[in-house]
Amino acid sequence: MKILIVEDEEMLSENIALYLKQENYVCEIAQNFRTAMDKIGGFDYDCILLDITLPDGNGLNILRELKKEKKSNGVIIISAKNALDDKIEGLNLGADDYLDKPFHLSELSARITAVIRRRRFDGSSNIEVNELLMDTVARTVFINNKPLDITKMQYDLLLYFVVNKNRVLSKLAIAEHLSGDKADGFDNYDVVYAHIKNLKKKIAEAGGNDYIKSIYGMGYKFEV
Amino acid sequence: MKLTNHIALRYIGVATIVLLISVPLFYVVLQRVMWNSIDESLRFQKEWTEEQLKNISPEHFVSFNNDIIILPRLFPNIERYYNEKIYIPYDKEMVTYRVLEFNTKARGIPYAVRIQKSLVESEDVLQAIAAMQIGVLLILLLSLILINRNLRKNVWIPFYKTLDKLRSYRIDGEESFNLSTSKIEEINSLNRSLNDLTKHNKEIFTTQKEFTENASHELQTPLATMQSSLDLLWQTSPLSEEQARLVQNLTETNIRMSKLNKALLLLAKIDNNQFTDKKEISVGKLTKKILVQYENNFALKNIQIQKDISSVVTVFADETIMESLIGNLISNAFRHTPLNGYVELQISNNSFKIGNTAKEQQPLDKERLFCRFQKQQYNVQNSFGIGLEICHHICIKSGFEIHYDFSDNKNWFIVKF
Repeated sequence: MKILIVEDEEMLSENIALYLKQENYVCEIAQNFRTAMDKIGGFDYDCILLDITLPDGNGLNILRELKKEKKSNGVIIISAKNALDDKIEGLNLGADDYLDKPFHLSELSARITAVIRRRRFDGSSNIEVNELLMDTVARTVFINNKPLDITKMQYDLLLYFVVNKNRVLSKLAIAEHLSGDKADGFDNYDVVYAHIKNLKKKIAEAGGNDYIKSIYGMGYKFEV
Repeated sequence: MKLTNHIALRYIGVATIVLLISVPLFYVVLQRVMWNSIDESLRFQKEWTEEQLKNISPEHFVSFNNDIIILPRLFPNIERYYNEKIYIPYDKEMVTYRVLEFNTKARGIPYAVRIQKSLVESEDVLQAIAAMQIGVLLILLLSLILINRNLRKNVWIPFYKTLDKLRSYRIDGEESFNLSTSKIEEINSLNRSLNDLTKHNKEIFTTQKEFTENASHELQTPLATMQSSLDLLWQTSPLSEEQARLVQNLTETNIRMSKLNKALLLLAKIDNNQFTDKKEISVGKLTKKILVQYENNFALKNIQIQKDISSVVTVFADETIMESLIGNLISNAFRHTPLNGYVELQISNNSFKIGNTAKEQQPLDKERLFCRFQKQQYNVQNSFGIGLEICHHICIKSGFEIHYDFSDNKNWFIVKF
């Protein structure tokens, strides 16, 4: 999987690349509009992370160019401008998602996975981890081919764990993910524990393995 | 009262007073002067009569119009001047005469002499002069009014134009504040000063607006860099428990800083009137849309939502602003509801009501509720208290009313559109 990071802040783009490399993505960085346009012209990417405010141009124009050339890659806008107009225009121009700065890298990774999965047309919208199967279109979970009865929130929680498997997720990152940008994650900080406990219980009752490990003092990890 | 009328009233008032005093005074003074002159002429006639009486017997004394009458007796007074109205059969009218009565002796015989002189001519002159004076003064008064009207056109209308423009001037408006020139130096000077002042203010306003916009970008990007670095640090191994706690603290602070920055930015934008894309919005539909975004949050705290939002209430407002208003109220209710609590939503009678189970069973401090950074209610950790202020500002800018109520052990926020 190839990812292009269009971001003028060098440290940020390098951090993103470093994190995504651990997820086995191949990352390339473009720090300005011109480089980004060159790279898009020459290569195909599975997903492009696009900052709108670039030193030598507007990221939205890159989006227009992609649309004109009918490229099939996914696009996630990462913007600090926090302007609703840009968000709406970006999504109208064919961006798949929009992420406000700052964000958790685990959140970014989850969004990238979702975009790439949606863009795949070979019907493989399912995620399989041993006996666990998640149908991301129907938003259902199967354990040993038997449907698991979980709430929408528990589904979101499990999916977040699965796409960030083998990484330690802090309670805060989990709470932020579940709250979205609508509320402050730390408002829900303390209740995350109870919900994870319930989810673990449901999986165990359906005969699934106990993948979600509690790491003392840090958070949780979906260990495969 | 308008300044022009204020000044005109004083002009006309003073002119009228001068007129009312001066005309009678002038009349009286002039009358005295005339009487004096007539009295003098009567004195000459007296001397002439006394001279004549030395040679002519009174019986044969002839005077024009019988103006001199000589009687063989004495008046009680030796000499007196007075006015008397006498009926003139020829003109069939009363005419005022100036009369001089005196006693004299001719050839040893005492006589009383009466000399009278008609005042008709002199009074006519006097009246003509008085009429002319009134005429002149009236013309003066009329001129004052005309001058005032002329001043109004030349001075006050440009002044009022300036005032009107100043009143309707908006610093965030598109058009520049271009005041036209006038004939009057002072008005020109005022207009020039105002043009410069508004131009300067607009520049400052634009700079500040740009600053607010850029501040967000400039701040969010380093925050994003910090966040990504913290996330990478989090993934390093080994990570001690203490290090993990520190990283989490930093992450939390980082997120809080970013959200505070966003909230302040939104507040600045609201205050700068940067949301102007108004259209008809159904409050019920918008509320439903926002509630979907909060599903997970309510589920996390196991909060039950009771809603009665099917009434059709529409407002004419900017959608972003409305979303922010309702979103903030819902977010606020969610944040302050205890676990397993209730949130109640009602839309009716042109109003939006949201109530949540109170953590402490007493009303909040109404006075300080909508203040910035007021960590209202039980000092919930991590809440900026800025959400309610955003709501408050939105309501002020949109002409809505927001107030707080405590009933049924719930904290209610009511917005009247």
